[in-house]
Amino acid sequence: MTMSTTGPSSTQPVPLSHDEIVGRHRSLEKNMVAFKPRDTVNAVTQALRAFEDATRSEREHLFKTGMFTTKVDQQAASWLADRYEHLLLLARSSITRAFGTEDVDNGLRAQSCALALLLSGHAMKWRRIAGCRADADAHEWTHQIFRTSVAFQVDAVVLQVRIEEQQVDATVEALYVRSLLLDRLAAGNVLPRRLEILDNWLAAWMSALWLNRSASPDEPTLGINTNNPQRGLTPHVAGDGAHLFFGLKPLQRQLDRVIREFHLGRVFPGWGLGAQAPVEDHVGTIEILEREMIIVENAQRQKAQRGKRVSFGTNSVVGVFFGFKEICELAFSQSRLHSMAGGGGELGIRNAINLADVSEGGLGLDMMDEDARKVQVGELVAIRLEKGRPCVIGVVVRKSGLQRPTATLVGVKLFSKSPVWSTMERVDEATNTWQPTEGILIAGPAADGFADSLIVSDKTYVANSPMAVTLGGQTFELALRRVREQGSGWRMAAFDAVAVA
Amino acid sequence: MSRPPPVRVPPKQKMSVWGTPWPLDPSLLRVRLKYIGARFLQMPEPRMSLRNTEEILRFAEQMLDDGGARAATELTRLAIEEDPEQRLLWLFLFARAFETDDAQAFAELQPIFTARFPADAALGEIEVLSQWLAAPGHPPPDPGRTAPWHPRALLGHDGRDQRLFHDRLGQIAQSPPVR
Repeated sequence: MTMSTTGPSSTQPVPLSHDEIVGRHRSLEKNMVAFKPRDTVNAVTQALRAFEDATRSEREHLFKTGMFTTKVDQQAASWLADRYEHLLLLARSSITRAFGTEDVDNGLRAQSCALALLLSGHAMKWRRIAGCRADADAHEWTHQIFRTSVAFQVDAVVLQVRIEEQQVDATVEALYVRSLLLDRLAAGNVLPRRLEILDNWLAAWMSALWLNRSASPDEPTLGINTNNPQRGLTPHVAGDGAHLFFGLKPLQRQLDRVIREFHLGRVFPGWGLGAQAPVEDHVGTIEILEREMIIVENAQRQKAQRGKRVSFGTNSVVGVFFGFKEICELAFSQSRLHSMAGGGGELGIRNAINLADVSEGGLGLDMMDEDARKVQVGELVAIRLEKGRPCVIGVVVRKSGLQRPTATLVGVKLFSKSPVWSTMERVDEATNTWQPTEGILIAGPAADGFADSLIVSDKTYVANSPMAVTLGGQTFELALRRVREQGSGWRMAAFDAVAVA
Repeated sequence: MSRPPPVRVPPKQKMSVWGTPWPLDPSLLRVRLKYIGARFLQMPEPRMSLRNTEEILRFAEQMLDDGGARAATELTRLAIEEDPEQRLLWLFLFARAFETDDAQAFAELQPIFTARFPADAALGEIEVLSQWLAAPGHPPPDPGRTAPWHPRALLGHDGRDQRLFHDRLGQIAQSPPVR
């Protein structure tokens, strides 16, 4: 993706080696010192365009392979992330110069901010794809660029931005929202190909990415506090300090448009690297956005429960338990409640596990390679984030290399922050007798109870077979229904409950 | 005498009940079916399932339970598109539009349903709900008003014990038992 100031590109893709590209960027960095502000912005724009033209086939190849699991793919993704990061640094320095000189017009100032925010989104996306940690200063820089554009009243200037060889009308504000949305939606466990599809959609939705100065009470809304360097977009609740708001209704309408296009047999938007991805990945991206909207819509309810929620920071050691059996035995054990010691004994996990990042629906675990190799996608995990608090429970959905050579990011999709372990009974069909067993109950969001689930071992799960559990003195018979999620050794099933008189 | 230039006859176009064109071109149809298959994994044979009202209601019920209200609405619209005579599915769409306070969606459904089912018993209630939604400053919709049009009710299921179970589970989750 590159930004155009003068219309379609005249640059043809040139086959360049990685070293040549790095060399060009370094010499640009050196030479920029002598440039005028306009030349600086144009030079970085041209460098971005040339870089993307030169790496298009490489990026295409990476998204075709999809999972970024081989060392070669991971190195390529890390290199691309580094390059975007470097170009972002150059773009930031061009802002300093554009705003530090009085004889620069506002058009150029808007261009410099747009370029930096465009690159901020690219860099953030590729950091995630490469499995690198988020840059600690990324939010602060992004906020600061936007604050500067607002102060100079260039945030709403419409510019033509070149994204995947398409000219897209965008404002500094829209590019700021795109960058923050990518940051928010990519946290946790989004597959690289889906992240690229999402970015293509955001590029096509630029006209819907605007901020309000007040929150609409009837609309699920994300809030931003541009003075808080730690936070990007978060579900807005009263009193959270946000002063800019992103209502989700325009995003919902855009998502409906994507779905309508599929009903008509067309892949939206019909361009970009994501367009070549299998339909399943597009559907997966739709589901990411739908899940996000539900999370934001539930923000008010979550706020009511905030007193019971755990508080934790990234980079801290967490206690992690793997597999249904170990989770039942250790994660819910009184003896482990006040300890951050994890499990993993059966798998042979030896090193401490850190929390890499976290979102409402998922989290990332930072594990040593040798340990991560023993953990499979689909593994049930319980994670103690804080001493004395119950574990959260989820499933491993992704593994990718972290920037450090011996570390792997393990992405976990969370099922529940308050799972309930319980003894129960099941009917043994061979002997037609009630037999003791155990399971983990997950309360769903629906008040009617039909979104509740029960996690049992795969040997215990028999469709439509009865189980019995006593909750608060009342015994219920449960008939296990469809499997909602499953993995090695466990099933998470819906059930119908009948109170036993 | 010179002839006027030849005119290209526009390709035949079939319109859906929603007024959108059907993807008649095989490549478009392939993408549509692939999409439906990927989006609704429950349906191994989407074109057959979409005509089976009971099955669609069951799927919609499951999707609602799994937090997929938007997907449930989408599936129902696709099923109506495939066979608009599935009356119960229309009622579910009205219920969804009402509960989400979506006056625009409700207003879109009403004339099409009225034209297709001119003597339907539900028309009176639909008119009442339509006026209620259109009234400016109305309070939040009460889902109880459209409860009979929910998939579970349309399929004749009762959920009192399930609600009781959920309430108990919610209480216990506040201080979960340890072993």
